[in-house]
Amino acid sequence: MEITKITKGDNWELMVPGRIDGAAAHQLEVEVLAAIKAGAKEIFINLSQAEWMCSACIRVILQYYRQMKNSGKVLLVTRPSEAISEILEMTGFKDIIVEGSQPRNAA
Amino acid sequence: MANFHGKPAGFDILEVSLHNQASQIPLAHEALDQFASRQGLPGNFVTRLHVALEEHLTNIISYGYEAGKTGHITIRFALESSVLRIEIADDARPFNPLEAPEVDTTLPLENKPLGGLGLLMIRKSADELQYSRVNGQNVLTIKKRIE
Repeated sequence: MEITKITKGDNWELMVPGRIDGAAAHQLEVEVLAAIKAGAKEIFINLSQAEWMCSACIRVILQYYRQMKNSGKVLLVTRPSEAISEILEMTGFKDIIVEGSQPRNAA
Repeated sequence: MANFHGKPAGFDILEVSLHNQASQIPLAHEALDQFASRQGLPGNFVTRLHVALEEHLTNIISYGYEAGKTGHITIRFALESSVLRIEIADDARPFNPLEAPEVDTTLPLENKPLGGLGLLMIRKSADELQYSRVNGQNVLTIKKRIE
């Protein structure tokens, strides 16, 4: 699985396609850490092309949502696919989706 | 190595055997895809079952065995009238996932626990779950109705 990165200044978008299993969740964590190290102030996890996600992915997103928020920064999910929306809703994580689902650097 | 055993009776049962290594979990997903394709099941129907498989197998492999011990996990997929039945048998230490405490999904993001999500996702992905301990094996049965 290949995570696509789009950057615009301090604003990063990470597109995670396909099935987000444990290995893919680890890959996402590596990319999020790289974005933080590079000085990202906003990180949007674009899940429009994701088929499903496991709990390890939700933990990665929650962990770095908190870390970014504590530093006055932002990490949120954007444009979730229908299946991802259902998973986030059933686990009580719908608030992790950015309102309007439209990060500033999106086309 | 994983072994696929296509059974007779119109391919309505599929069995896959894994070792307790995370790198083998994709073979279970491939088997579910193969079974769903044979049965003509829609992709959105099996999505939740992929999630349940991923979570249960990850739990077994991560926490079920002593370090260095080789374990065996067998997964059987069967279609019984309008119900897809997945039976996962492992020789890990006894663990009944149905007895695990429920996660409070209503807590705000700042207070949500990081643990327990996998079991919640298994519960929410199935219409019915059954657990038994048989001949030294944990057996979890996941049932989902085809609507």
